Amino acid sequence: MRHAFRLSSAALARLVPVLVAISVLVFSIVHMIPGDPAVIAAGLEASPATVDAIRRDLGLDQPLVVQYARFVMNALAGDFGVSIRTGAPVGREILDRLPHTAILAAGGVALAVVLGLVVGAAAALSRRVFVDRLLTAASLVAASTPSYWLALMLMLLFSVTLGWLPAIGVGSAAHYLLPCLALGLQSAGAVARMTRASVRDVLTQDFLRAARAKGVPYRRVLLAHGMRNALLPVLSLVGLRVGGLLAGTVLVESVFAVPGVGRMMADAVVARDFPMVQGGVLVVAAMVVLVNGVTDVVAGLLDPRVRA
Amino acid sequence: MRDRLVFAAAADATTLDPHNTTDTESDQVIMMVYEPLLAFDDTMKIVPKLAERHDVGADGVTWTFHLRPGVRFHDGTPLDADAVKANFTRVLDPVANHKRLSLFAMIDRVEVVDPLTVRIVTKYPFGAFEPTIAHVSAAIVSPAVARTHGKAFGSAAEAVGGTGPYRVASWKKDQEIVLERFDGYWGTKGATRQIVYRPIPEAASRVLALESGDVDVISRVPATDIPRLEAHDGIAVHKLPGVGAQQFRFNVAKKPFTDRRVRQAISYAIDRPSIVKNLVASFARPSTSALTSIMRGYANLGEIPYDPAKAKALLAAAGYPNGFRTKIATTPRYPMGVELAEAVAADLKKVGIEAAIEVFDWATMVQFWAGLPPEKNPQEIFIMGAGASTADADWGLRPIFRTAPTNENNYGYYSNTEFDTVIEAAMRETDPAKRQALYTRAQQIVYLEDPGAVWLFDTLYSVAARTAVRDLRPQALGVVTFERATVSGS
Repeated sequence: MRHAFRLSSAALARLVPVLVAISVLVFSIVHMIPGDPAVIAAGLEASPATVDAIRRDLGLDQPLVVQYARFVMNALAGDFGVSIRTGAPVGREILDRLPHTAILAAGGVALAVVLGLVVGAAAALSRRVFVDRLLTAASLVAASTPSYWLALMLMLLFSVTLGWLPAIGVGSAAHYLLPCLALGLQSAGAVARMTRASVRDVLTQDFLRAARAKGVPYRRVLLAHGMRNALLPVLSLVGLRVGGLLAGTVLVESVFAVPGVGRMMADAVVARDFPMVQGGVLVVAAMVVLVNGVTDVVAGLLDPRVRA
Repeated sequence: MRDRLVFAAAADATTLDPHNTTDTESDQVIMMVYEPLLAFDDTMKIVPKLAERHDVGADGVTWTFHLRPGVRFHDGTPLDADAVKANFTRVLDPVANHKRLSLFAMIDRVEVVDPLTVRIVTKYPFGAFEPTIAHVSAAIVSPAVARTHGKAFGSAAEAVGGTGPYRVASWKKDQEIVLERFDGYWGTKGATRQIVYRPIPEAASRVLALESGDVDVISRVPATDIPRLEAHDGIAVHKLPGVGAQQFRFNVAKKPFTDRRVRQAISYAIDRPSIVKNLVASFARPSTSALTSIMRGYANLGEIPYDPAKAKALLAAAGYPNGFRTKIATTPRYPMGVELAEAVAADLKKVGIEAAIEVFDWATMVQFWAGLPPEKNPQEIFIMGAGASTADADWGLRPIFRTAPTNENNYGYYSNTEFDTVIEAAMRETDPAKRQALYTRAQQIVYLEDPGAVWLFDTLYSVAARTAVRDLRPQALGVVTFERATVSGS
């Protein structure tokens, strides 16, 4: 447990420089892309006096360095500013939406891991070439299917044609099923391919033959020795995938009309709603760093070498 | 009859403060919750709303409104002359600087005559005063609720208060707004108990949600899906002429567009019937003037004929017998925005004009229209959607084409002395016949003689609904309301 504690505090310590770097990056990018939030907020029929007043209100007439300093000071106090588009506090807007994104991401990861492991292991352990080929081909297709297209096809099949699941929105567990599927299937394909390769690799290792020679039952050899070692590369793959998965929520949330952080950020970018973009990116970045920290800890528990 | 109708909008409302919003998605919720003194009926005629009747004095500037007695806001406070005065004070407050301030710039002062009579005095006779008072942003909000919530008014369910047939029961951002029938309503009460607004940003998902029955009505129907939905058994597409039109505007301050013959040539060089037929047939009709047919002050000047020979002759006369190079700026935010630019460029090529196409996202595009002086504006020909939210010639022509030093509203720096004189006179003219004559003249100038734009087509406003839905109110302003709507079945 001590190791786990040390690893998690290391992960937390890593969070700080990453967030600082990201805040600088995001701040520069949103201010560099063309587009004036005050103009967009005012609307096309507004007068320039209105636009100027909005710009002053938002502090956008100040030098960039001053704006950044103000942003950091407020963010440290837990205040991410107010949304230019809606006038609501950014912190509250993010907190309202975070649960939906968290559910999607967790569901997507769970699906990717469970489905990926089962299919990958089945392909690796199958004695029939045909089954192996089929499963491998299926995971290749899954890994190469764009989530946007998949989302619309799932909706067409399960909501319009079959009428089994709600097409859009949130409200019940059933609402999350299709979005999680659309989000996780691509990663499931990748995990399955990694699992298959990794299990195949472990099966040929000397320590497995040694365990078998000692008389350990095959099932136990596979689960206790084989899977444990095969899991390591899969685990780091999942850790790396989480970032991409969260990026996928932007598309999936828009298609399924899930009121999450991804869709909020997409809307915010279109409206050049700087405070929302900055707050949203920081929160998502923190999530990615934290999840990677967690996978490090778990990897440490699985593999003594990582603990060193 | 179901007691709930679900409508899929393209976006959530940004705010439910009528004085501080300019977007359609907010407006169509606001129209269910608040009411102005006057309103538009389905033929865009002005009808009484919170004011039973009104009259204008002989001076043309003193408007007296007699309020409907016994009207209450959703919070229980009464609608009276003080409340009306407080509203106009609020929207005209230079410090608060609400987005709709400029729409009411003609108002000089508002006076309370007695509890049910209010007098509005304008700075000058203003011909479009009634449509301005019927505009959604002239809706009367509860002064009590507005005071309590200050700047946050309109940002959450509890910070909303009007007199309309529905009140806001709940609002989960980006998820749903639930409107509940207001039982204390003064007029005919809402037909369906609950109206749910569910934002679905992705157009393809909106269509699928309608087909699966998750929602009853959708707006912003993708043009490419309209024919398919029309063929669908359980679905009807409602289309009606609106205030919207699609055009390509000229930067008149830049050569060679300073020469009106060049602009006329471009206008004749474009094959509108083919563009409308091949790209936008499901939601457009060729333009017949600088205003759309349902607007007050519209004059039918006919479609501009496709005449490349005449275009070439005009170009030669202007000193460009071999054409010239230019660029067209467009944005996919307008339906078929990029395809339209491509079609226009292809037609221009046939008369020797080489036009490069530049595609921008909306935020970048509006930068060019934000009050830049001509020397700072690189655009030459640019796409533009028109749609005056008062459905009146004044707002549809005056800010857009009257001579101005920057392009804050006159995005192409259009300038024509006769047009300026006519449009100013029309604005101050309150006699309907004289007013119409002036606006007809203004349209002849800007549409034919000294064109300020290539008018392509008038946009039909379309809404798709399940056939179980009856008595929807799609409106020419590009919004749909549900005060009479019912959904059959269980």
